[in-house]
Amino acid sequence: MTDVTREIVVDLDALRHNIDMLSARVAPAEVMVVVKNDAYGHGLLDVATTSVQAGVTWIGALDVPTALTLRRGGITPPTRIFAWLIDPEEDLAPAIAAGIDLGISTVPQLETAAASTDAAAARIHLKIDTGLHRNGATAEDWPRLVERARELEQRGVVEIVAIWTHIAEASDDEDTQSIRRFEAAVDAARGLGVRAPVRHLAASAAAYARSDARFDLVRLGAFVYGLPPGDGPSAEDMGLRQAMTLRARVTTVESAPDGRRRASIDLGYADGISTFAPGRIDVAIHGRRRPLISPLEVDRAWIGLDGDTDVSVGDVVTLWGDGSAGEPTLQQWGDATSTMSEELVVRLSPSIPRRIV
Amino acid sequence: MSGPHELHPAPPRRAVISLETVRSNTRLLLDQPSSGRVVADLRGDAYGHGAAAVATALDDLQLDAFLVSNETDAQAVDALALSTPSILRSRLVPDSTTLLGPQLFGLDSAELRDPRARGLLPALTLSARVLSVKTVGAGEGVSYGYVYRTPRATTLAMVCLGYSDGIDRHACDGGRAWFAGSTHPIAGRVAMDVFMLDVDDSPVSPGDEVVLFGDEQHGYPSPVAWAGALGKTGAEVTASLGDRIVRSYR
Ligand SMILES: Cc1ncc(COP(=O)(O)O)c(C=O)c1O
Repeated sequence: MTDVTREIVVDLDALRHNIDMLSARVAPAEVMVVVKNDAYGHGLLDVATTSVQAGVTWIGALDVPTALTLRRGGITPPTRIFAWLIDPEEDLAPAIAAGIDLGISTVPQLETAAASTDAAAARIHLKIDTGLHRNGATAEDWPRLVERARELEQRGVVEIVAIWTHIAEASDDEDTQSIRRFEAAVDAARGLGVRAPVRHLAASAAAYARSDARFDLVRLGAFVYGLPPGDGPSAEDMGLRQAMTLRARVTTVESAPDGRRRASIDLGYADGISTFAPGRIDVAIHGRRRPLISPLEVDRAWIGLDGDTDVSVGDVVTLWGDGSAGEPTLQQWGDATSTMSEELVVRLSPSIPRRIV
Repeated sequence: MSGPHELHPAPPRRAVISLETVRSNTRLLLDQPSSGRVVADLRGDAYGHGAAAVATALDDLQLDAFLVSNETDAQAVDALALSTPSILRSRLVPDSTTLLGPQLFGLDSAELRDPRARGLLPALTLSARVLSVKTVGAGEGVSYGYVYRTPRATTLAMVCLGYSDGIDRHACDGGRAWFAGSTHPIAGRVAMDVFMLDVDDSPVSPGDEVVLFGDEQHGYPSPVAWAGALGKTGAEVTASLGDRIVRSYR
């Protein structure tokens, strides 16, 4: 840290390590790196560019605006960019012209895509709902969606690239049922004339754990950033490295109204620090753990110093990281604040400076 | 491509802020006797309401200063060339200053639990678009972990706000949002970018609008009630809304 009072540090080596490890583990399935929400707070273009350099051929963008930002930022074909959160009010023509792959769940979305093509056919991934009940066609609506897509494919306005779903990670049994439903939907689509679609179903957890969930392609977000689920094996145990460190400098040291020594940092709830954190998690100063204490203010947090007399203004506080400076990991933060590490990283304010190492 | 005569569609995630409400709340608070300096607390980008817009709207109300979080915000407010100066916390004299913060926006805080009882109204209405709808049978699990099961055959609307926008992942535990005249339960864990609303048999289509909180006079959940269900204050909720939510003013 130089002259800033707080910073996010992103370790691209950790990212590359995770991509290599996960790619080897899921092979022969391919990897899509999911970069939604500013790459889970790690920096959209840095993460996408690093992924492509590491050999990744698919980038998961979430929506069309993000996909177009990636194309403008230099993520060009042959790298595929996938957008699946489609706004009914949105013009899809720029996405199709930029060669963005679109996740399609309904006939109206399909018609919009087909009507928005100019020269090239719209590349589409048809989504089946296998239990999560967010988007995706129900089993009932599936044949109609596939048939209409086939008609449009024969007219040359769309190309059915893939069939996909997203699962609930509710339990192994529930996920197995989703896998069965997915296989049935793929079979039904083949029966309706869809040839050799790319099949994708799994996000991080299922891709890591289950070979029967990997199919041709897996969509990896959390694990790429070294963020394992809560209450389970640590990143290290899983061969992953947490890429993000959050640090701040001590801005005041004083005696609280109750007489106890405390230090403040310029990170508050408006910066994305969880209001459930004080009293439940420690941070590290000089390699030693100190508790985050109440109150969490809008733009600062307090750390209890107790007997620690050698903390002064300007000292570095590590809130989370890979543990190497004595700090807790994001998994431990998620467990302590009753959420998942993903919620903690995507809620960080973009006003916190980010440094890539 | 959209032609020149087509209106740009409204953004899918919106926070509409009534500056008139902020002004009338401020006037009400200034009517109360206070000693010393009166400073408007616009930290955390005015608790998510936009410090520059709020400072401009309050400039003629004879406040002594605008308190902001950092140099960047101070520069943004100073660039407006207002008559009220911006200050940082280091220049605040606590004992002789009345600080008006969340209450300006009709929000609760540890100091003021029930702003409406004081006539202070919420200034921010948070809403988002329905992206898709689907009908499902009874007893179906919804969203990650299937923590919600449909109590009956119903319609689910997928709404484009998620925890990355500042809607807590556990807002399903009692959280309700307004659609078409009444409130409905959030069905299942809030995901990173969307949540599902169980609208029962209300007719709903992609493109419709769902309101998470706003002025309860319109039937919306109030920010105080919304935040309370999450174990938070309204100020904590609005200050941590994400920047994908497009702010506009009226
Ligand atoms: C459709 C889809 N695929 C993949 C992912 C990545 O999930 P994870 O971060 O668990 O790897 C997400 C993120 O939620 C998603 O929405």
